[in-house]
Amino acid sequence: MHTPEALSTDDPHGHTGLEFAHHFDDWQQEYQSKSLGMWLFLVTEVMFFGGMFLVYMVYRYQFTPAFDASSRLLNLWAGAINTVVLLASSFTVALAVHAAHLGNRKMLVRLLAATLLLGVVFLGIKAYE
Amino acid sequence: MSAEDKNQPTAAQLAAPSLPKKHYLNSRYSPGSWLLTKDHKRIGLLYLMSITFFFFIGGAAAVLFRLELMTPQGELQPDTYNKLFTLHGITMVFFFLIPAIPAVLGNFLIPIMIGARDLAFPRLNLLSWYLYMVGGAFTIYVMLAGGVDTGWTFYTPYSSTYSNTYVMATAVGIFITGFSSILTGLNILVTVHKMRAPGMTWFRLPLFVWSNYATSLIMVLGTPVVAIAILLVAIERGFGIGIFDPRLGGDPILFQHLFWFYSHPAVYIMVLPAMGVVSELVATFSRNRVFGYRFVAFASVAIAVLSFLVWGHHMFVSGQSIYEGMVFSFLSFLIAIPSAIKVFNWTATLYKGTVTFDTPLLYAAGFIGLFTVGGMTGLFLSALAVDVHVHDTYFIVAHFHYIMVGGTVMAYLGGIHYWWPKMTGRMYPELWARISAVLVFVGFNLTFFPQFILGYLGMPRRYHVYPDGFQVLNVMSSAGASILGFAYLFPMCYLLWSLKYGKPAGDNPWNAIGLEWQTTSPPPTENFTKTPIVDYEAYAYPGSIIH
Repeated sequence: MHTPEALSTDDPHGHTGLEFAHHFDDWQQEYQSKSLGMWLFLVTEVMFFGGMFLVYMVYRYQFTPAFDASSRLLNLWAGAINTVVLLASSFTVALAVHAAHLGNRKMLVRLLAATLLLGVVFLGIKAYE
Repeated sequence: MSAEDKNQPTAAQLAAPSLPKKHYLNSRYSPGSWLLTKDHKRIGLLYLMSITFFFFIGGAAAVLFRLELMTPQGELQPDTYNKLFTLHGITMVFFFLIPAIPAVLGNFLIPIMIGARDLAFPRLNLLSWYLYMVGGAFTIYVMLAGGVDTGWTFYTPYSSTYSNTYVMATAVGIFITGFSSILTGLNILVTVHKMRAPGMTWFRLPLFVWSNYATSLIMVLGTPVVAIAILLVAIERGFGIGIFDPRLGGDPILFQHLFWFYSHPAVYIMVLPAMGVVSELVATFSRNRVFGYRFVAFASVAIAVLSFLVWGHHMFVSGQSIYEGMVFSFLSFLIAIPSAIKVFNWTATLYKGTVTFDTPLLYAAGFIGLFTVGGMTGLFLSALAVDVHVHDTYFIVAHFHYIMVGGTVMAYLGGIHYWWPKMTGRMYPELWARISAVLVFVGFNLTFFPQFILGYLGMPRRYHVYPDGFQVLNVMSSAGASILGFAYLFPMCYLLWSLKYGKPAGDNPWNAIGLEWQTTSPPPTENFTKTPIVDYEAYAYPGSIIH
């Protein structure tokens, strides 16, 4: 994992030339910690919405005809377009992360702006629905 | 250099221990250096103060209703009584027991025990304290506004249809506090995975770290589910959408499933870290390696996993099918195995150890006895037939207080005494502390043992009146509560006294093994002047057998 030599340095910031927070030994440790933390956060999201989906499943099973009838009220076009908008915004934000890794600031700002715009469009369609 | 050499006190320490010149407490003094601190030790102390505050609020409510229960007809209005036991349950469970050990001792100790400079995400750590305080502020608001009367369990339809009290505000407060414990759990998991010092392998981790790791798994997996359950109650109350109300097509039992899917594991959030504390105390004060280290470590993880599979035992009499009941009953029996492994292994550690009865060990011994009683009565409750007789009686109240108060609070107090010299640099007065440990034990048993009998005789929980025949046992219980109340105030007084007048402790007053005892007391801001390198097993006391 970490070599004792890398740890014994008294100046944690000067070692690799890359920035990292003072309590980490090197930037790899910081990067790995942050991605593990993000995965764990996603786990909590799965559990959070899992509870909601469970409730949905129970009632869908109990009241199948009512769910069937209400599904016919769906505006297919609005729903389909909104799905595309949502997925596209995930794509632009993923590209933004990539741009940040490359240090391409201009691209990063543009992609984040595009993500924001798609988010507004999503909310707009939801309001219309 | 072997572990023994490192932990022998040096001649200078033996002469006259003194406080280090520069440490985390005196490095800066401004209020901002506390309120915006990212130091895990200072955040641990912030938690210690706020948790103590909520503990005494919850305790005050208990004093009031124990007074009421001295006489069969009581003095309080039934509504007031309902609000008091709800206040007691909510503050004790969500604002004291769940965060107590992970957020105070865990926060302070885990980075030091694994040889790190801080938790992986210091800012998130501070945020989680603020979320806790915001959630706590809601609870205070609810109290001032007039209280809530649903019980800490928020069962629908009490909480959705029939309550006219401040359910929404309470729900929001608990929802927010839930995120505080999710963040603490996430932080501990990442820290244990990624921040261990060189040589600190998984099987060299102190068992306190293992049990907090298992606790954090439950916090991360379970808390979101109770958050959504409480949110759904709020949606039903606020917008009249029939999620749990049968008149609108909802199902009230579904709430119980969602609630207990978290809240049963939450019981293990409370007791697992306590078991970790007891492992440390037993090892130090018997000067012996914890017997069957790996079994104890894996028992924590086994408890965390099994805890998610037993929630149905809260619904044996709620119309659940007999097959479900049998499966949940069997799984509830299974979880007794890892718990019993721990109890037997602590006992085996004490056996042939060199035992000294300092205050922390008195608390740990109290824990082992009371936890065993609490656990064994848990087996009564997980038996389908017996549960029908004692369900929703004082038997169950006694059972879970033996686990939560006899278990968790004993271990918490033991841990506070054990690590007090590390946190503050000063020793507490040993004689007073031993008296308080004995008082807690006596007061606790006098309070809760009569409740087993009351419940078995048929006194239901959450009633403000009872038949005359139950008065003797109720008076015993209230008398015990008055001893217990005093025994909890007492340590707060002498611990505060020791901040100024306690003897300087030195780095390792217990002559214990573990990284936290290798740094100064109190530790410097970044815990160690040089990252430690670990080349020995946990609890490598001279003469103990290492497998």
